[in-house]
Amino acid sequence: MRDSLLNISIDESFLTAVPAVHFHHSFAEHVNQICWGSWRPDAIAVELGPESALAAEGWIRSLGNNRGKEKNPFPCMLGICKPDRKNPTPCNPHALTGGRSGEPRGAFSGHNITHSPLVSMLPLTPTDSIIEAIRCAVELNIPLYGIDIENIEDPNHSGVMLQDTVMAKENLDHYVALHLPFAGHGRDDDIDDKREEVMAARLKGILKRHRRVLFTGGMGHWQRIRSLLTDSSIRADFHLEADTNALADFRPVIVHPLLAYGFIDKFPLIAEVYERQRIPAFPGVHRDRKRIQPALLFNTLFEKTCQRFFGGSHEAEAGQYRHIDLHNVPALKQYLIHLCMIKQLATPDLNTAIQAAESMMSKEFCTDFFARLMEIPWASPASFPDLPIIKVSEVTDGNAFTAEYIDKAGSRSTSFALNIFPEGPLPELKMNMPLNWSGEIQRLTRDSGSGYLRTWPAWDHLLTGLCLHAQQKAILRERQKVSISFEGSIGDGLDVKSTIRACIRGESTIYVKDLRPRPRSKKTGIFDLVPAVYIFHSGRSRTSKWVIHQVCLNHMYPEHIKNPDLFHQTIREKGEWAVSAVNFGEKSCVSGPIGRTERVTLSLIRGIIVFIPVYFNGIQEAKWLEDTQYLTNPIYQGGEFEQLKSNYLDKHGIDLSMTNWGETLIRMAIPFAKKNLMVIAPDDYNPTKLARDEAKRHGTGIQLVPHSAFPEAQIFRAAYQHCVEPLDKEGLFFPEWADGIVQTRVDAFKNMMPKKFLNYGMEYYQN
Amino acid sequence: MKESISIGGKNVLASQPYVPNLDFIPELIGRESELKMLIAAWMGNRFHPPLAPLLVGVPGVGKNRIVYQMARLTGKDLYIFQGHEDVTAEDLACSVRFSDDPQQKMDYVLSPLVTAMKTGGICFIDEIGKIRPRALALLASVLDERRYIDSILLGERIAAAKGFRFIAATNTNDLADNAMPDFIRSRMRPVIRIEYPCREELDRMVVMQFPGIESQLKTLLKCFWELWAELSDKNPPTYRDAIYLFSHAINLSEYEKREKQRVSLCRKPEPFASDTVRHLPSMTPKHLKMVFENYCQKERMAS
Repeated sequence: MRDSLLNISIDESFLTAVPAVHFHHSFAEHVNQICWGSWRPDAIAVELGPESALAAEGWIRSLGNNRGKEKNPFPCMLGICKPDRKNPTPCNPHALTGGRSGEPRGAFSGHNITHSPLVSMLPLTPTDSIIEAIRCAVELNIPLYGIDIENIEDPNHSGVMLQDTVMAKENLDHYVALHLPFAGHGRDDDIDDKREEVMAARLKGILKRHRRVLFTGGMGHWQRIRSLLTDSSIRADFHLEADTNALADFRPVIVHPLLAYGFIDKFPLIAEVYERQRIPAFPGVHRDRKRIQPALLFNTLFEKTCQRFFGGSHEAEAGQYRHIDLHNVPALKQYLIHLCMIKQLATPDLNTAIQAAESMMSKEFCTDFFARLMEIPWASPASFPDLPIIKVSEVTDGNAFTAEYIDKAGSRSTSFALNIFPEGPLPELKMNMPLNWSGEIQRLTRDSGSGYLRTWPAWDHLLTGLCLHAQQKAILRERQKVSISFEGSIGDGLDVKSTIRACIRGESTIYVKDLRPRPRSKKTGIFDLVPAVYIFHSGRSRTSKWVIHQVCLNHMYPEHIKNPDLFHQTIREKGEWAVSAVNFGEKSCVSGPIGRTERVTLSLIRGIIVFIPVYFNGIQEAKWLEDTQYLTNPIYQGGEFEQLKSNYLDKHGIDLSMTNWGETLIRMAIPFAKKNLMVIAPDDYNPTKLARDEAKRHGTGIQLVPHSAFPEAQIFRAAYQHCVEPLDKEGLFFPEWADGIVQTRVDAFKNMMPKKFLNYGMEYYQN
Repeated sequence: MKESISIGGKNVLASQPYVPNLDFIPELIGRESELKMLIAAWMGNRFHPPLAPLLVGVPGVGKNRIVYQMARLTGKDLYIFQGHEDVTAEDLACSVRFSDDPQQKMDYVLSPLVTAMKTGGICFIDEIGKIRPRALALLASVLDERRYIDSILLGERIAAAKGFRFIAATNTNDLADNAMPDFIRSRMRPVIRIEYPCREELDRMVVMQFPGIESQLKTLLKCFWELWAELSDKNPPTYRDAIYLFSHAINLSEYEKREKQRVSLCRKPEPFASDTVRHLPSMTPKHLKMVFENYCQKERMAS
């Protein structure tokens, strides 16, 4: 080989480099190709610290040498974490936040988490050139060297890419030559200069030991490393061995898919196909490699999504959006093509695709599309039962990129800021899209038992606070018809009555009708809070179930009942179970502390109807039921949702159709609704005609308040419902340890509610 | 002076394009992703007409600023139609007025939308969510592949020139209650949500808006964020919030300084100075705090 941009000979040794864009398969392919080609390296060097490289190599070795074969592919995705002791505060604020463009979106997000502990993670991405190099070193059984400085700040490189990384497949030399001047954009000269000097010195040391060396690392560093290699003032560094004592700090983890996809090429399927087609570097393996064609893969995924979505298997819920979505498909395709042209992409990546879909299509389509793009066999707790999961923390404010561990027992660590190394293109995280990852749910599901659970007060406050906010919004939007004299605008049409009356009075004024905002005189009372319907995710769900939250009248303390006659009459005539809320969602269970019987459950709620304010304790519930004469919520004989359905049919003549759960929630509320029924729903949600007609017959208006009227983080948080076993029967006190598990203080969001609401009924019973 | 153009043999007056005064409008910071989405939406070809994007966001996050930037990038004239509750369908196309010319009684005046269509400019309907659904009916044919508008008043069909581009913006709250009818919403794609600016972007904007003394601004910005976290119980600040608070604090500090001078020199002070840079050094965190307290009190009263 001759010296070129990527090849350099020093004395009698030869170095070939694969300067890479991290996580992109084109570069991993080159590394792999070099390792099984005729020019096999004697040693491999990577842009990692010596200890990190050794830890990664050890872990990959322990996964087994047969990885890479079709039957037992490299898991996607594992990672190796270590506490960042030398950087007590995050060094790279960009890496800690995940806005739409990888930037901290909420201005508070980055601000608040700078005090969190920092953990660094090396994602073991199959499509990353460094990981591929480590795998090849293991397969070839040759030395691997981590030549970067361990525990150094990773500045945020945002290299400018003129061409899609797929173009690097054909001619890596040309691609690197084209991009080298731009690849170092955003570099921190103080830090990167030092790193590159160390890397060049160590490479020189390796070249003294080995004759053929392969190096791979970030493209932003190569230009300077190459020039330093020919600089005689840089001396060879022979301190290449890792400190094995430091290996105890490293911890292998399973990376949750919602975190993992940011560190995989364009979309996860590429990693799966890469692994299927990868040629192990073992000597004597048959070489027959097909090229990955991301554009073809993407088209297939898109077509499959369309076939499934428009294919007619989901009539009930997609119906109202489907015709608009179908109409928009060609425009979406065209828009995606244009977006790719502007972003210099040959194939859309996951974020671009979802970004385009979100702005063009319904939420249902986007959810399906996202699920399809994420559909690969992820590494899960089922296959690695001993590893903790690292995932984006659920208690974050919706934008901040904080993470947490979930250990084998299902309990969660405190949240920490997560730093990814090596630095690469920043992942764009979409945290507000729930992904039903069977692995996690499987681990966390336990016997539900028969304990007495109450919703966590913080969630109660949040949900009620949302309703209050919605009420205020609705009041602001209320309009009234007024009659005004005609001054040029016909308004809402001619007001014949007023005009005739004016004519009788001898005036020649013409009156027209107009709609004006209603004066803000109305205040929200506690009895206006319910019933209220909340729809958090309006899409279909095959795994969601109905859950009834109810109060057993016979279990109430007699001292709380002030009108025993009415109480006993109600039980006799209606039943002993008063429904306080009904939700539709997916339930999992998180255990409490070891050795205790108390439990905490977690549910992802898709929708909920509230009949009795959720923050009430047992005393307040009793007071409420009496104040409302047991009339504002369903009371029945108890049982499953089927029994409640029968009760609706018998008592109200409403046949609760199971085809559309959102419609069911609204229809359940109608018999108990007053003038307006509050429905908090996604922006593009429309109640079905059946629900609207039924509301109209009942004389109730459906007052839709869109999610966009609330902070996104609050809507996101409200969709996760924790139930905790209280210390007392009335639900006045909760165990202290529950704060840690739920990771939201018991009194959080309390300021969203007025004191008079919080104290409802308490004074009455204290006297 | 309004330009006169001829449509179907009738002389009609065109609307005037808006030229943003960049002295008062801060430089656009960030928003690269949104600009890319807009450019992609406006790229058309023989088979697919350009799309009509809708910007959605809370007041003050910079929706209009993005549109100005797009006009600047494309070099097209920008015609702005301000939406409100009293807009009628015909207002979107053409209206009449008493003529200034004694030779004729009335003048036809083309709306900004139709002027943009005729001249191949950009039409920006601001606050489209405030326009009543029935008034938006005429837009349907403009936003789909037909790309024309029928004016009853003018009695003409006006086809859009090749370079015509459309964009609209609305506040998040105005989208509630399905204020926009489906036939318009389905034509207004992509819907681009403009989020709150991040801290880094907002800091950069303040530095650019009040240049010259970065070292002092650093302290003031730190104070600004602390005060916002402490005193404001709502969402992150918008660009408008930051500009308002800083400008107000500067004016306050300037007034205080002049008052002191007046007392010492017994001379009448000049009113508020226009050159903010020159007077910034007198601004301290104390002024920001005073302004913040006033601002938060107002916000609470409003809510």
